[in-house]
Amino acid sequence: MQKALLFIALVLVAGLVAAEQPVVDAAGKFRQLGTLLPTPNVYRNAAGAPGHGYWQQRADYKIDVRLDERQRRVSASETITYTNESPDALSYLWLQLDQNRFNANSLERRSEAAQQNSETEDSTYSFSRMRRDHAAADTEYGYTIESVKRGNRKLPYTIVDTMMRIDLAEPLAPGSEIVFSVDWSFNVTEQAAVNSRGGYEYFPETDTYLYYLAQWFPRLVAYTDYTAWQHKQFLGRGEFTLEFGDYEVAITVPADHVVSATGELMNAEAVLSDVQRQRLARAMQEQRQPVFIVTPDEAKANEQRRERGNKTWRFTATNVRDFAFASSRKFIWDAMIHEQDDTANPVVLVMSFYPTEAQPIWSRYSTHAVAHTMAVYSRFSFPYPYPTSQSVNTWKGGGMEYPMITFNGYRPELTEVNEDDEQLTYSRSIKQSLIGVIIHEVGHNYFPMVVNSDERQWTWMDEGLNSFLQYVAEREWEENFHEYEESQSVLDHVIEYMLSEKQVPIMTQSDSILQFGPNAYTKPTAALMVLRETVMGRELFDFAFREYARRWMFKRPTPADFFRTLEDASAVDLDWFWRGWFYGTDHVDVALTRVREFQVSSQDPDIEFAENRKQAQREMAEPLIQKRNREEGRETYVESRRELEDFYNEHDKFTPSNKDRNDYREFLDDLEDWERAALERAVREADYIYFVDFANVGGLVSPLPLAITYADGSTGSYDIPAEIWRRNPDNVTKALVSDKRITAIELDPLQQTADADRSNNYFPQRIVPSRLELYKRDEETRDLMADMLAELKAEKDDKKALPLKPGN
Amino acid sequence: MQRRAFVGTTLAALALPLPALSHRLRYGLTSVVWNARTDVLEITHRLHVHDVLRALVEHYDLRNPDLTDVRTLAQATLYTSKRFALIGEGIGRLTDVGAELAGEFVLVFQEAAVVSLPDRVRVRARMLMELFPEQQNQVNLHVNGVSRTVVFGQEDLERGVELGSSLG
Repeated sequence: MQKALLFIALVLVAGLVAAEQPVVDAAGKFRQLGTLLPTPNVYRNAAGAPGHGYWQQRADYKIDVRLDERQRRVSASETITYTNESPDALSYLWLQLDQNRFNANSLERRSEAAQQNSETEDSTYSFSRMRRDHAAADTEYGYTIESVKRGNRKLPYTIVDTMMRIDLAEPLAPGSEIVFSVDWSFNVTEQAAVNSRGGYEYFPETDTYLYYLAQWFPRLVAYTDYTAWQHKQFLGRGEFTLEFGDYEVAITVPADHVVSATGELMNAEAVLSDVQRQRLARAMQEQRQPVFIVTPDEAKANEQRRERGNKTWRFTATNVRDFAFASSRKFIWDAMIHEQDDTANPVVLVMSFYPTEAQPIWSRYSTHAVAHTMAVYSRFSFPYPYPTSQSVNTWKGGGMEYPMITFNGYRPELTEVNEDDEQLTYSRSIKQSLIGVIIHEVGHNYFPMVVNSDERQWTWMDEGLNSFLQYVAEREWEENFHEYEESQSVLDHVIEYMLSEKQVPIMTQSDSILQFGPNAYTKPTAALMVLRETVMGRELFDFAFREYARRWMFKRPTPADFFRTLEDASAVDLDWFWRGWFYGTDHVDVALTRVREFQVSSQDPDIEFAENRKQAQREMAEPLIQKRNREEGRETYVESRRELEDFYNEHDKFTPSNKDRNDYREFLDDLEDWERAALERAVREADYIYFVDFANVGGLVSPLPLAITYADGSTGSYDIPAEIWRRNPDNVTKALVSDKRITAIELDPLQQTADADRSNNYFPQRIVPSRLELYKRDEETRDLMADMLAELKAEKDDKKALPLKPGN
Repeated sequence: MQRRAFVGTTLAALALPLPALSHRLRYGLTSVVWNARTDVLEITHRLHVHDVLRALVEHYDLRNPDLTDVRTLAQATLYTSKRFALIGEGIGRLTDVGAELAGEFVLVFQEAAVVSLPDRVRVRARMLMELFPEQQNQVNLHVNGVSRTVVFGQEDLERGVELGSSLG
């Protein structure tokens, strides 16, 4: 730390600091977003709210669908009422045919490149790819469109891969509606073979099936004010944006199946037993523990049954943007209610459906995880607006969301207890992954199932916002969720991605995103964490975020609406934040480069010169030769002839002269009264003044939270807002005044800014060990691992490889 | 001689595809950092725990691998190190250090002594590619304050990375 006595009055300090910060690129990082955002209009106003002319289309569906279990095929008749609320006349309509993606001739299949072997440099053809191709060869996937009609008149249509254009005899005028029907069928994909979001799973041990139908019916393409028809082909990644509407769906399945579906069951008396209906009534009173509607034992018994005939389950759903269902004779079914403070929808029926293979973890956690999600998400947005919320176990891992129903993964594994016995157990990782995926998928019921953003264009608007709230909800489920070490926060996790060279901004169209997961999920989560916990604070952020959700509930927001709302509701100018985190690829790395310490000088030479002498003695070592000469007892020439000494031998440069005293008197005379009073007070209080220098190494401007340690052992904090960079985004100096001497400063001590390099965050400097060095410090682990690696390297791998030979 | 489309290849594993997850994407991240204090290249691979478990089931014929067990972590280390290479003049052979569980992820550590830093390195990162067609592995190289990134997809075998004067 540099110690010097400041000879200027305190009032000049500010001027000094300003002089050290030249205006460099001042407009860049703090420039208002301006033309980066679309101009506000009658549809979307400058506050980020729906404008007075906002509109959106509407699509209502009535569907009769039949599942042929023997053929594993569904067929349906679908009647769509499409209402044109736009100001445009539409001469044709577009429908999405997502099942066509699985057809052997789809755009996705034809544009697929060969796989490469992970150990060699050869092309490869994997078991999984072969299985999928076998499935496609054995079964024709994709829709068979039986008819498209308006009344009894056929409507001409053209299929373009996963889209179908229906040509109208005359344009559909603004404000008018059209009713038309589509009859169709398709073979259900085997999910494990085809890698689809829906399909069926076969359980060979019991010769049973579990069906889950998603993106299963032709759906209206969204028509919007910002992009007209959103009919980019479905290539498997960019998901959906859809129109809201009401659904009446009749699902005919084998009589011993249990069906879970979007919406409310309307004919329980026709499809459930008396006992099941009594249990369901009991569940409607239970909010602590789920009640089994179908017990585990009953589900096992059902697996052995093969009832003849069918039953039709009837569901309705109001104001939803999609519909999905699952059906199986394998289902265990439990339910309880979630109560919420909402007069319009005070009670939500929470349910889970899962096969025996998912036990015991599913009955213990699934329904609770659904209820917890709604409690947390509603606090950040609006009360859950639907009557049911369901979690269905449809696969081993991962998840997918639809209104009121989510398909979720993670099952326990069979573990060998002893030679003759196995039991189903689950690891901590499986448990937390299950809870995490349920939170995420149920969370999607808010974003984008209700706040209907356009995922095919801006993935982050639902995956990013939802992952952020998932992160919040997980940490409200239990402490240390998914964390085994302190460095596992999302802000630590995102750093390596933000350091990478080939990033694209979050604000990139979905199909062009590189590293989809970190870009669309992790980085927005990290950004919103910084925004909530550091930039805005919880109170302002939570209010503004909730305002965004409520403004756009059952409407279709764009990124500008989100950005504008958060500013509009908080009075915090966040353009620099959006510019840096969402439109840029810089990372956070701020270095604390220097600290200089000062105290205000009285300028009185009779006081200050003596202090200066002491400081000079502290800072300047006596010349070694002089010191050792004295220690040897060597007498200097002048010491041996004292008569040669004069004024300069008696006084050093710190002895005040008359001129110094006169200068001091003149200095005092030149001060205004208030300046003199201020100086006297500063001298009396003897405050310390620190100039702390920061360099913006990473480029992304960031708030600067500081932890300060004082000489007396006490500690404090000081938060510098990001606006300190507004005049110079590369280097800034902050003046800190303290009545106590500072001995240490740490930048970002709570690791709340995603700072990539913590080794430059300390004064005095510290050596920060790398992760690998920390790992190697644990000698026991290191030695055990070394032994084990040596042992394993001596063993031969037992790999299962598809044998290939050159063709003849 | 005409060869079939899958000429001269072998397959590493019998790979059953996982669901088309919208919400957990197949993505590995490797950082290569030159530690100037020790003159060592420190390599940290970050892979999702469930993907690693899947790889261990397939490659080591494990019924239910336990990543809290040192043997399983060592297997994860070997699985990863066999699929990663970093070669450059003046860089020693990669040494397997070990692995640890970190939340949802497995961190696998390797290191290499550095005699002199080269202008160019060759990198290979094929972890999990044989299991997941959509797997992407990103490798970040951080040397002397400069970062270089290469991303590996199914079609990328080995990539050259120019580090040039950044190495000093």
